[in-house]
Amino acid sequence: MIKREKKHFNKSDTLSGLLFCSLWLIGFLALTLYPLIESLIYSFSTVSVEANGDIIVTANGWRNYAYALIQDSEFTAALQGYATEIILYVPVITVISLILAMLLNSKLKGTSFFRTLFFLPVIITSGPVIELFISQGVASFPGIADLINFTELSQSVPQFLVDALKFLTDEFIMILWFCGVQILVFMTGLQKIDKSVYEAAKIDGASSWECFWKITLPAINPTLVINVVFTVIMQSIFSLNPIITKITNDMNGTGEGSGYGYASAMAWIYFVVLIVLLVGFVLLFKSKRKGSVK
Amino acid sequence: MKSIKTIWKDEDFKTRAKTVLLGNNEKRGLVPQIICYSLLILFGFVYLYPILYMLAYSLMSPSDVVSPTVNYWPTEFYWQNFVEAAQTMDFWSSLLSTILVSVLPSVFQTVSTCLVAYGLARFDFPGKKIILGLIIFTFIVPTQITMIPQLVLYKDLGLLNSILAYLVPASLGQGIKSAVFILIFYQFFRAIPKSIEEAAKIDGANSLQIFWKVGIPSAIPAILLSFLFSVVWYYNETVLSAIYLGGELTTLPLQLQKFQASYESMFGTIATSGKSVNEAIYMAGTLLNILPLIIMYIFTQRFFVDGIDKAGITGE
Repeated sequence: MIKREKKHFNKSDTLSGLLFCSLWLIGFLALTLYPLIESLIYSFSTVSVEANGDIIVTANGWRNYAYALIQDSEFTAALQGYATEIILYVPVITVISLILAMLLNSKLKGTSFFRTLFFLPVIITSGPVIELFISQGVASFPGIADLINFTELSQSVPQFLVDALKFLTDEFIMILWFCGVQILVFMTGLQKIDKSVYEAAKIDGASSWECFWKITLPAINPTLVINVVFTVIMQSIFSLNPIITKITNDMNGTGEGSGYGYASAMAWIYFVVLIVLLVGFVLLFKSKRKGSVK
Repeated sequence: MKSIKTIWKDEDFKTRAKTVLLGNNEKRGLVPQIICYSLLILFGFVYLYPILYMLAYSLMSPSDVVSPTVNYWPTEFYWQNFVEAAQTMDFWSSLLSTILVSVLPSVFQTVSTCLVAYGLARFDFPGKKIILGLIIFTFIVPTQITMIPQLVLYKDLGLLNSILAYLVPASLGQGIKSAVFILIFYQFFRAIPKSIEEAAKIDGANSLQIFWKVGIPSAIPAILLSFLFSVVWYYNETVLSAIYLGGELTTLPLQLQKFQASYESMFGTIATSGKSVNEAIYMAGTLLNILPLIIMYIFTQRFFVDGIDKAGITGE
């Protein structure tokens, strides 16, 4: 039997620790946990706001959820659009960030200028700005989409692949714009790799290509997982996400398919989809490490 | 003199040429360097393309905008677009409220996240792992879930339609993306060697004094990074600003969002005045919206990059 040693906590450490965390704890209980529970209750209710501002909550079971998933085609379309976007964005952003991080990490002169440049979009990106770029057609290069004949392509490859390709060519620059933080995170990961490992591998006759797969990629796997999680979350909370627009638009209406209760139910469904996507991606990128280490 | 043929046959010359072009273990060759630089320049141009396009377009006169011969570069610099865009967005007063809405909550957010991260990084106490787990959980939970009950709560507390709706959550560590800042600070504070803390303890300092004298000075890059990021994220927030701040504090991104409508109510629609919001004015408005951020970035870019570098977010 394994003997479990009971951990002893120093009394003054406990007191100080809790003291430092107290503001956060109060905030979490009042501004996150309580709203979380309220929102769950709302999602199973019809919520109406009286003229004097009072809130009346009447339970209605799974009605909101059923309506959202079965009748509200606008919501299911938004959900689908969101999931497709995440599934396309995450691998592309991850790969491009890694390529750029490796270029910037190559100790060439002038890379700090490019590092500053690639980080700039992080500073200025907001919903209305990106919206303008997309509406003005500057989210991609003019002509990129013309290079590919989409109608011809859709005869030979499945439609969803064509749609995916079209999406990527339409918003190519915007995808690059979302890489800023990820590039820097990858760079810190790359800098931690011991140079002598590469030298040893080169002496043993490994090519650069083999070095990348056998040394670089396993070494930066923790950074990779962080970047994937970060990308999923940042893309999810970005204000152009169709679900966010849908929830914000519907929260103030009355009747079935709108109001606080219905908006809360949509938010919870959205949360479940987000968790599924997040877990899926993390498992996908983590299992790769095990494969290459063996 | 050797002929070209003999030079080419000369093994020594061959290896030297190969080293210059392709490089060896110590030095990078010319060919990989050229490839790296071309890729960087290519990507750099792609990154800047929307901004350059916007800059050129915003200086086009109305006749340039409709002219089929003018594509990328205006025939003359037409500054009137910026004047009209600034009027439409009520630029100076919007800028003032944007600065208020982004800087003030950021100060509170930085202080509160710094405190909780220090508590978690430097002290061992029961429930610490649970708190860390909950912090990561708050990062994952979409704002849309807590948004509505928070709205009701803020209304009851009288925080709505004022900056308090941002300040209260920020000072309790529940501001926009607080979890990210807590994790950054956590990494920093954990890197402080225990011995420094013990030395301070022997000198009779209590934990608050140690925090102030040892913790804060070692976390300066993290403080700058968190504050700047916080400013950027509060600045660019539109969904929550629209809901919590109402019509009281209109930020520049919110002005940009309703640009078309504001323009029409100010200068009339095509039907009434013959003018319409042409794309050039819209572009000028967008530039005005991001200009304060770009100015800030020019002066602070090294703190962003250095901070992330030193934060060493590697997932241990």
